[in-house]
Order: sequence, then C-alpha cells, then structure tokens
Amino acid sequence: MLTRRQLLGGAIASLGSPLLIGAAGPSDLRVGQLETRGTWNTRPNAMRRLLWEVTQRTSIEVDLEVGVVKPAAKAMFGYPFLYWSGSGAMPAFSETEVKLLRRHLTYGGTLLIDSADADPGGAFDTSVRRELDRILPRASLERIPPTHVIYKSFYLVETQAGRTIRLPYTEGIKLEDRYAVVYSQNDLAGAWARDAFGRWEYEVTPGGERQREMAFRTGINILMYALCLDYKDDLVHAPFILKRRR
Amino acid sequence: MSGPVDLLVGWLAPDATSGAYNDWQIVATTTLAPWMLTTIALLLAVGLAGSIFGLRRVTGTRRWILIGLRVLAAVWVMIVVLQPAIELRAVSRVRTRVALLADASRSMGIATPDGTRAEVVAEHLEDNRGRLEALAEQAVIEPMTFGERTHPVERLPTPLPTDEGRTDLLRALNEISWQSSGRELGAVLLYSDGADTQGLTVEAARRKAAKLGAPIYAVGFSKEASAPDLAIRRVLSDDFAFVHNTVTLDVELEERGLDVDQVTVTLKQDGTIIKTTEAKIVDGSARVSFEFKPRKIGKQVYQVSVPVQSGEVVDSNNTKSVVLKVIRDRIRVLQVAGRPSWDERFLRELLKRNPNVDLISFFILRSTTDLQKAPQEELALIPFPVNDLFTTELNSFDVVIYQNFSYRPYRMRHYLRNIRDYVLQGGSFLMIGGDFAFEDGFYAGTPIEDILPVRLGGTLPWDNAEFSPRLTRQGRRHPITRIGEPGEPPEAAYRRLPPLAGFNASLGLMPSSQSLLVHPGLPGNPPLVAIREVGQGRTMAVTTDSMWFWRFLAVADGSAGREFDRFWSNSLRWLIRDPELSRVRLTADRSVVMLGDPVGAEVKVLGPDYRGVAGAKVHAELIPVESKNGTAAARDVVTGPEGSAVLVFRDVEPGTYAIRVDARANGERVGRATEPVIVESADVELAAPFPQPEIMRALAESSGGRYIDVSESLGDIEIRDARRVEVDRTRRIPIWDTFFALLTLLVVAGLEWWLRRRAGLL
Repeated sequence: MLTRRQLLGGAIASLGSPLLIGAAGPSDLRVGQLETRGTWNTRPNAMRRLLWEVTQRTSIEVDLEVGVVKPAAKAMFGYPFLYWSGSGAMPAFSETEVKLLRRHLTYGGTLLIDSADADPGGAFDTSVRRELDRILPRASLERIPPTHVIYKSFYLVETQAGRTIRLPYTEGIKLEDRYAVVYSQNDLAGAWARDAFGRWEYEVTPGGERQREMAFRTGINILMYALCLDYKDDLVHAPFILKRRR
Repeated sequence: MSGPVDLLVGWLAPDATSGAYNDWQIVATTTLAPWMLTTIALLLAVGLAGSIFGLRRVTGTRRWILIGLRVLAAVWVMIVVLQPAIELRAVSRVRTRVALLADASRSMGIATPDGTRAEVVAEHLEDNRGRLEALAEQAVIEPMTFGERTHPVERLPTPLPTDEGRTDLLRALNEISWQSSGRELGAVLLYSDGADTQGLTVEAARRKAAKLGAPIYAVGFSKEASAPDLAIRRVLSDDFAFVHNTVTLDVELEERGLDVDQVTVTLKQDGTIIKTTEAKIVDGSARVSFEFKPRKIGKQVYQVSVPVQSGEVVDSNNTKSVVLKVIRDRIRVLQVAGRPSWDERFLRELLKRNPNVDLISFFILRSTTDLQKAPQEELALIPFPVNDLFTTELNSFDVVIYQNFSYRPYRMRHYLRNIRDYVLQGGSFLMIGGDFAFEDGFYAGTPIEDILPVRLGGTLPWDNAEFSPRLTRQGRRHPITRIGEPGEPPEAAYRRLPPLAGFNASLGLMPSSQSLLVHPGLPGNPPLVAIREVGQGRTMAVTTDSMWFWRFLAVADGSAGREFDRFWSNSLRWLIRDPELSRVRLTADRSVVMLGDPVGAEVKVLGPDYRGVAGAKVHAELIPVESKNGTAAARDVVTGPEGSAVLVFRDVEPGTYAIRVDARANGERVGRATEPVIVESADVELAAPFPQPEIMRALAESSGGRYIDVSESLGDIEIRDARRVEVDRTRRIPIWDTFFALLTLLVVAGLEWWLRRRAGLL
C-alpha cells in the first residue's frame, strides 16, 4: 500500500529538496508538474510564482514547491492538481501513464495544460489533443463558456490572456459537472515567470501589465476552482456577482 | 280450477290435487352437452339451406309451402333433440324485510328540551306504533341498535341504550344490506341524530344511499334541538409535513345555542403556544387556518384549543390534538470552511453529489491579512453573512459544519451561544480539524466547548505526522465507522486505507462522549472521531483535515474511495438521527388512543449488524409531555427471538405522552427511542355532539326514501316489492314423446312428400 510519506517522498525526492515535508499541511494546495518525455519545463519558476501570488492574495495555504511527477508514478495522487506545461511535439504517453492519468482525473483530479508555444494547431497542441483523446476517450475538449464559474471563482475575469492572446477563450474537458481538464493556448506561464532577480522573463503582448495581471487572475481562478468547484454558483452569491458585472 | 294454470294442470296432471301447482314453464330435458346441441343445430341449418337450394326450379306458391314444411320439419327435429317438457311448479313469494335501526351511541344521551335524544326516539316509536304494526303485515320488521356496528334484537329495548362509543352510519347500512336472512331489504327505518364519528360527509352518504337498493326513511333531529355547546369539530392536515417547510392546519369550529360571535383559537406544541388566531362564528360555524414550520422531524403532537364558554354541555370538545408526521425534505447542511483546501473540496463534492442534501457553503476565500490587488468590483467575493446565518437562519439547518474554521477574525463570538442553543434544542454540529479548529480556533472557554465531544485545554501542538487510526470498542459497533464492504470485519477497511496526516493532538474526550477512532501513536490515544449526544442534539468531532486521503490517495491503489463516501454519509445520517440508523425502533399501535383503551407500542432492538437482538432488556416509561410530575407508568420487557417486544399501558389518564424506551443488550446500552401518543380526554361521541340532519337527509333522498323530523309523524312507508320466489315442488311432463308429437311429424313429412310428388320432383 502506498503511504502518504511515500507519495510525498517520491515527489520531493524528484525535487531534491526534503525541506517541504513539515512545511505543508495535509490539506494545503500542492501542485504537481507532469514530467513528460517532451519539453516539459519551459517556464521553470512560473507556477511557483503563481502559487506565491495565491498565498499573498487568498486564504489558501500553499506548498510553494511544485512537485515534479512522472505520469506513471502513483505519487501523482499526492497532487490532486496537476500542471502540464510544454512546447513542441511530445511522444505519446505509455498505456500505464494513460490509465493512471485517466484514473486521477476521473476520481477528482484537475489538470491544467499550458502551451508555451501559444500556437493553436502547432506541434504541442496536436500532441495534447492526441493524448487527451486517449486519456479521456469519452469526452472531448470544448470551449469553456464565459458564464462558467471558473471565471468568477475569485476574480471576475472577462479576458482570457497569458503572455499573448492567441485564443480569446479557454478550453476544457468536463467530467460530470466539473472541468477536470483546463487547456490554455495563451502561454499563461509566460506571463507569470520571473527570473532570479525578480524581473519578468517575458514581455506580455498586446495588453502589457494589465494583461499580465489578467493572466495571474486566470491562474488564481483556476486553482480556486479546483479547490471550491462551483461554490460561486451557489445562489447566495448570485445577486452580488450580477450587481458587479452590470 | 278456473285459471289457465289450473286448466293446464287438469289436462297434463289430472291426478294432481286441486291447487297443488300455481305456476308452469317450459324446460328442456335433454342431457346433451351445449356444444353437441350447437353442432346439431348447425348441421340442420346447413341441410336446410341445401334443400332449399334444391328447390330453385320450383316456382310459385308450391315452392314456399315446401320450404315452410322443411323448416317445420327441421324445427321438429330440434324439438325432439331438446326433449322439451312442461314444468308445473308450486311457488311462493318471500316477504321483504324492513330494517329498523336505532342509534344507540352516547350522543343520543344528550339532552334536548323534550328529554334525551334516545327518549325522544322512544316516544316517536310509541306515537307511531299503529303505522309500524301495519308495516309488519307487509314486511318482516328486523329491529336492531347500532353504534360502531349493528346489534340485531328481538325488539327495541326500553329505554333505548346510549352506550356505544362511536357512530358508524355507513357500516350499519353495509351490515344490514349484507345480511343473508333470506329476505330482500325492502326499506330502512333509521332513527339517529346523524352525528357520525367516522367522518362521514354528505357526498359519501349520498353515494352509499344510492347504491343501497332500498329506500331509507331517516328520522332525525334538527339543529335547533341541540344543547348549547362550542366544539372543535375537526382539525384537518396532511398526513405528513416537511420539516422547515410551511404546513397548514385547518380547524373547523361549530357552535350551537351560545351567544358567541368570536373565539380565540390557540395552537400549542408540547405545552408551548405556537400561534393564536381569532375565529368569527357565522351561522354556527367557523374555520381558521394555522400556518407554521415544524422544526423537528418525527411524529409531533399539536394541540388546538378554544376557551370553554359559560353554559356548554360538553367542555372536553374544546381541545383537540393531532399527530403530524414530520419528515425531511432534504437535509439542509451549512458548511463553513476557514479556507479552501482539499479536505473542504472533497467533502463539498460529496455533499453536492448527494441528491438528499441541500448544501449551503461559506468558504473564507480571503483573510484580513491577504493583499487586495484588485478593486472590490473586480472580485467575486461577498460579505460573510454572519448575522443571517447564525441568528435567523440557524434553525433551518439540520447540520452545521465548521471545517477548519476559527470564529475569531469575524467577531462572531456572541453567535457561538446561538450554536450551542441550536444543538441543545435538537440541532447537529460537526467540527472538522485543522490548524484553525478546536483549540487552534480559540474555542476553549466559549459556548462551543460546552457541546463538543472533545475536551479542549491540552498543550500538544498541531501534529503533521502521518498515522493510521485505530477503531475503539465502540467504534467497531457504531454505524458511523462501518465503512467497509458488506460482511467485512469493521477493521478490514481501515487496514487498506492510506494513513492520515495532520492531527489536533491536544484534545481529550469529554466524559459523556464516545470515541470511535483514535490516534494510536500518541499518549492517551486522543480521539480522531468522537461523538456526543448533548441536550436534544448531537455533535461530532473529526480531529484531522486529511480525511480526503481516503477519497483521493486511496484510488491510487485501485480503490474507488467508497470508504470516504460511506464515512461521511454515515456521519450525516447519525447526526440527523436518521431512523434507519437507529438500533432501537419504537412504533405506537395508534398515535391517538381513546380514553379507556390501552396504550400499546412495539419496540424492536437491533444489533450492530441490524438484525434483531433476542433477550435485550427494555425499560419503557410513559411520560406526560406537559406535566412536571415525571413518569406516569413504567414497564420492563425483554425482547423475543426476533428482537421485538410489546408494550402495553392500561388505564392511562387523558393527556399527551411520550413513550420512551431505553434498551440494553449484553450489558451495553443499545440506544433510546421516543414516540408520542395522545390519550383523548374527550369522548369522541361528544367531540361534536350536534345533530347532523343534512347527513340524514342525504341518506334519505338519495335512496328514494324520505327525511322525517322526529317531531313529525312517520307517514307512509313504501316498501320495495319482493322479487324473490321460493319453489316448493315441481313436476315435469314431457311433450316431445307423445303420440300427437309423432303424428305431427308424420303429417309434415307426408305432406312434403305428397307435394313433391305432385310437382314431379320425385
């Protein structure tokens, strides 16, 4: 039987940092980044940067260190939120990896896919769609409607933006009533990333710093959605949100 | 001998004595089966048709004579086959009966200006003796008294009895129509005040009377003949109501002979006034409605009352109690989480998925120390509606969950008292652990500490280490912690689940609480899951925020996470006192018991596997709800082989009671159950003692009879004719094997032959 220590240990060992075992609580937000066989870590500090913003802006307790997990490792289940970033073509997942990812998502996990290429129809996009068809063959990517709770889970977000705005929408795969997969082709991580000196790594176009802020808000909303689901669709919130959106 | 029957008898049976037979009929005496007769008839028809076809060349009158003769011959053959006979009969017509029904219920003992109603009836019978005697010559009079059922008597007793506890007019009419005394019912002579106690309506009376088949002559009393009284005639409600949803009780009042225009109607529950309203009396009746929201599930007793007026003949009918079964529509759950977390997320997902749960969630998404990097209008945040939730709306929830939530930042210490009172009055409260919960949420010294199943005040810090919980002795038997597959030992499920991590380590167990799961690795084995019954409510503590491991981490090894689902589902059901989870079940025979009848109930004691436990000791008490005098009666019984035992309390005074049972088996307390029961103080006959002439009129008019006021004479009574005859003897004289019959056949055949010969057809 897999123990939590083994689960966390596997993830942490891959980071080479044992310092985090005692730092995070068992229910804190912990993000696992998928180590695929393609180019998987194009924006190494971006997710950490987003998580730091989450700690600053929300009440969510966060493990700032992003765990790196292989899709074939059961350690993946220590991270209900998975992050798949990449660039260019990617070799196919093995059958074991496909089955484990399917199990993860079916039983409550959430997967954020972020294309660093920001190239719809490009090599990464093609790889992603091919693999998602294998992982969740009975479901398909769809545009997440602008009225969906994911755009109001913390911020009222009306613009879909990352480092760029190649698509004015985000896609997702719905399992029952929730989006288990969220797919952005606007290079969200490109807007989040800073270098070691704290400078933004990439310029954000065309919207500049306001667009970067929107990218952070989108990221925070996606994480909040993973933790609270359709909480902001509860009736009690409706009058407040409608008033602010007028 | 002068009639046609006599002539026939003299011709066919000259040896019969004069008047021996008074009726006759033709009968077939053949012994052939119907299918054989049908076959012969068909063959004859086919043969006849063929022979008629053969006459197609014959024309004129001769052809028609030949056809007629052949038809006659075929008919004659058929007669021979049927072997007809004349049956001479001696018959007599049976006289019909007239049911003379006299109401002997207690309402007939109520006084009128001319004596009791029964005395007035006796006087009416005496005054109409001549008419009744004339009636007895036409029909057989069958006297009987009735109340709840009919009692045939030789003759109506003098004085008429008035001791029947109920009046059931429909049953009385059913019984007289079903009686098989050999005579048809020709008419009904009904003496009653019409005060049916079984809820008979005018429409139902009309339907019944129309189907009776005999006229009812209903002798009744006018409303003006009533004694002065104010009564709650009926309290109408649905059989069940939903908790926290508006329910309506309609109250019908009736007044006679009192100078009252308006009365105050009061609705109480357990002695506490819920509502009052004014009822305006118009034409001797009034109707008011009470709308209210039941707060508790289960059978609830409500009492409606009006003040006793001066001069009333019956005051016990000024109060009426009803039992309303209050059921749950959906379980209303308030989930308050101190911050978004995986533990919160998986619990919310489970609760939202449950169609029986109406979930209201409040999550603290941003604390006071977080940065606000956006104007308020760009945020989807709403104020935490503390006041609404913990004052006006609190009682509408079945379960309140504090999930790793500290009250302190929200200045809601003064609302904690409301939560304690909500629990003491029957609510349920669950606190789930984390670094904001229990002591870390600063609940020590607050009213919440008074109701928690865990003791605050320890010194151990929040422990993030992993551990595998251990079932306690109580936990092995408790429904909350039975999370394995059916038939699996209780411990098996816990052995395959992943370890938990994160623990509120400093908590002890309150004396009146039970610990179901404990942390086995810490001194004193502090509780992981603890429960408590406090006041009328229930509380539960889960001292970790890692229960979601059982849902998500468990699936890595092939589990479906059902243990997590079962644990929380069981917890919710225990918190709301789901009757299906109770191991002691009590069912009263009747919720409303008439004065003098025993109060009965069945108690069933179940084991942890929900099978009946034989030999369980049950202590039962009958407790007056409104009295402070304690127990009215007590019984000790032992369950039988099926785990059941019967409770009977006799000679119980009028009032509203709770039957409470405590069961023990194998030296352990199994549980407790309560059931309300009302012992009616009012004689149901006197609950609405007014005459109901409209019922009597409906019975009479719909049956083709007549309504007669008791002050009027009986008049003509028409009796439906008897249709039934009795046959005393018969004699059959065959008519097919006589010489005349043979001669007729020969003549027909010979004539047919002769005609064919004349026509040159031979």
